[in-house]
Amino acid sequence: MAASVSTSEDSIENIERLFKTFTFRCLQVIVYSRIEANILRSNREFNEMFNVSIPDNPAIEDSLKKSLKDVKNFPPKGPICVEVALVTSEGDHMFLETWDLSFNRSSLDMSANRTMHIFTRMGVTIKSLLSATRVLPAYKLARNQGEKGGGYTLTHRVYMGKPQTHMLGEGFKTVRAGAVPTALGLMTATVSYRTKLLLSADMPASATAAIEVKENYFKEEADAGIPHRSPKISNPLPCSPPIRSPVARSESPYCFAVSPSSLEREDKVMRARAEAESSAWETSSKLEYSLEFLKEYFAISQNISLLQMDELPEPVFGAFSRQQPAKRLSAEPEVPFEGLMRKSFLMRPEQRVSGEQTQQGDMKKMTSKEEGEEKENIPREQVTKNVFEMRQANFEEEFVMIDKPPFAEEDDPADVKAFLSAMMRAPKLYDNCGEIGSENETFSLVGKTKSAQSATVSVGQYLSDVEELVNRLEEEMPVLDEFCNSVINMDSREEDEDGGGFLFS
Amino acid sequence: MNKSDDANCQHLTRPYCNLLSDSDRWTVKLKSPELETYLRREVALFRDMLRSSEGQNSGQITLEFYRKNKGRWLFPGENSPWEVWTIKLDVVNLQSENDRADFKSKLSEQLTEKVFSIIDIINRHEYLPRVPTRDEEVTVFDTSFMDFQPYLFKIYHQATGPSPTSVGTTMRKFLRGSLAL
Repeated sequence: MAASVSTSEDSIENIERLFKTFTFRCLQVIVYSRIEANILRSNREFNEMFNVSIPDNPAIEDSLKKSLKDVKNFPPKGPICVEVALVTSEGDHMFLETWDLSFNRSSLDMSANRTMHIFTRMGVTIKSLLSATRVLPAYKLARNQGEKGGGYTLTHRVYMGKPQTHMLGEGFKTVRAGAVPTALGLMTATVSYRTKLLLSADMPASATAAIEVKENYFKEEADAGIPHRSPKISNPLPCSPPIRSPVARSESPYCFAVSPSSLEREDKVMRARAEAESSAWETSSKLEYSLEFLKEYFAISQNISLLQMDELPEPVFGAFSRQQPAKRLSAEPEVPFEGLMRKSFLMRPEQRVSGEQTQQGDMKKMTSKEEGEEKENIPREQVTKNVFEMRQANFEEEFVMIDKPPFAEEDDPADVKAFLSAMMRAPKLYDNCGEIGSENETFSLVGKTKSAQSATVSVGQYLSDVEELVNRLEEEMPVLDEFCNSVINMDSREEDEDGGGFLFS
Repeated sequence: MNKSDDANCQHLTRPYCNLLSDSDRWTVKLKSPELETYLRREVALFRDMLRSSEGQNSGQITLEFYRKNKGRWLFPGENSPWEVWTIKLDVVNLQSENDRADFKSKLSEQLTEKVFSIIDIINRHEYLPRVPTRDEEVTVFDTSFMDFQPYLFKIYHQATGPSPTSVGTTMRKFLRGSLAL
């Protein structure tokens, strides 16, 4: 942090004092622009630091100084944030802005290594901040606050730490309101402000649904003669609990829908395992095959360890899924969107699922090496039962995580590519004629009837069968031509005889 | 743009920005009545020009900061601008009150964006003329005001009608501008 100083005026202590004054001044400008006009009008003392004359309010200054009492060094190591919220007469909160003063020690401007230069730049930033506070939508709200205005009040909270912007609603904007490049680092003033200022009935619910707000969230100290509510916090509280996000899409157990790209990846893994276990599958389409495979795989592999199961995406019954969540007997109350909350199901004890089997007509047969017998139309309840006999998790800690739906806008169009490649690609015939167990049905192109004891059909034999068929057709071509001609001639002769009567009776 | 205290410059740093109360509106106001009067006059001239021009629905007003360069030998001194701000305005005629209200909200958003873009440029602190010695201060600062000494600046405006379509017109403007300096 040590920069070259040439005179006593440019000593580190003077510069630190300058930064402290500048930080306090910035907070003053921001807070004063958001309090009631009556409060400022009553002040007669003006502070003219940085060539900006601002009326001083002792109470607000004291509160700001208390907010900064934990900051030992200036410029501060961590960001200092000011949060501005609108509070209605009914007690509804709407967060309007989050101001952030931060210092970046890695961005240096060696041309500003003297107090004079730093002072000049700070003055420009203070004036910029004055303008910035007055062009934002919250300024107009601040001018109309109070009982005589809109019946609401604007509150502010100063805290140390990362700026909380998730409470600003959708489409909030973040802009830079000032910057002071110095030889010690770059001090910036940034503001994130809400763009949608409609206060709806849903807002309090949505604002508090995902966070836990303590009763003393806004501490109100006993300040005499302060008509405004000024929560003064020196120990900032996070506005929301840490949000857990899946490391990778494939690892996310909560998917709004199963994406083709993840399905393909899992499909390959499962195929390798299935081939190792000599599982046999019949599919009608690739995507359907993957979904069915995953579902039935869980039914088969009861002995698979938890570690292996973690690698697999879990069947998620989304809102538009064909499968319906299995009915279960449970003493616990039903959880909304329970199909999306895998772990909530896991919490429940092993249950014998009963209920109607909602079998589908196109469920494919499968075999199980372990059981050694053919299974048809595995009950869905059994599948879900096997799925839910897994590890347990704390229900209270779970979130409903919704992954990015497939084809949603993203930089990586892997889903679209995977889907298109899957759909455009013709199903491999050879898979159907691959290594199939003797118990399965097989078919061949020679026209033989289906036999339950056909030998395995290899690719070479398949090709030779095709060749043989083509040769046979070519040999029998004259016979076919003769037959066609006979039919045609017979039609024409009968028409001549009957005068156009119907051929078919 | 003010100047800071300097050992070679005896002018005092005066606060030139005030928060004044005017009924229910707080404005950021210059503390120099002279400068404020001058700026208001220039803006009023620009406004009148826009209103009076027929068929010209747009105009621009330019704030140019410059410094005077000493003439060498027989050549006269010239002014070299070091920062030029241009604001272009398009006049829109609105028929109904609804259109006016919609346009007002859009305009306020545009103004917010413009202000922040100005703030962003200003806070880059890219260039400022070096503080001159006392003898040469008239080459950098405007000493015509009694209570305020800004950097040398001038304001000029023009009505721009439809955008120029020919390269020749543009070249003509370039030549005219370079000759004016």
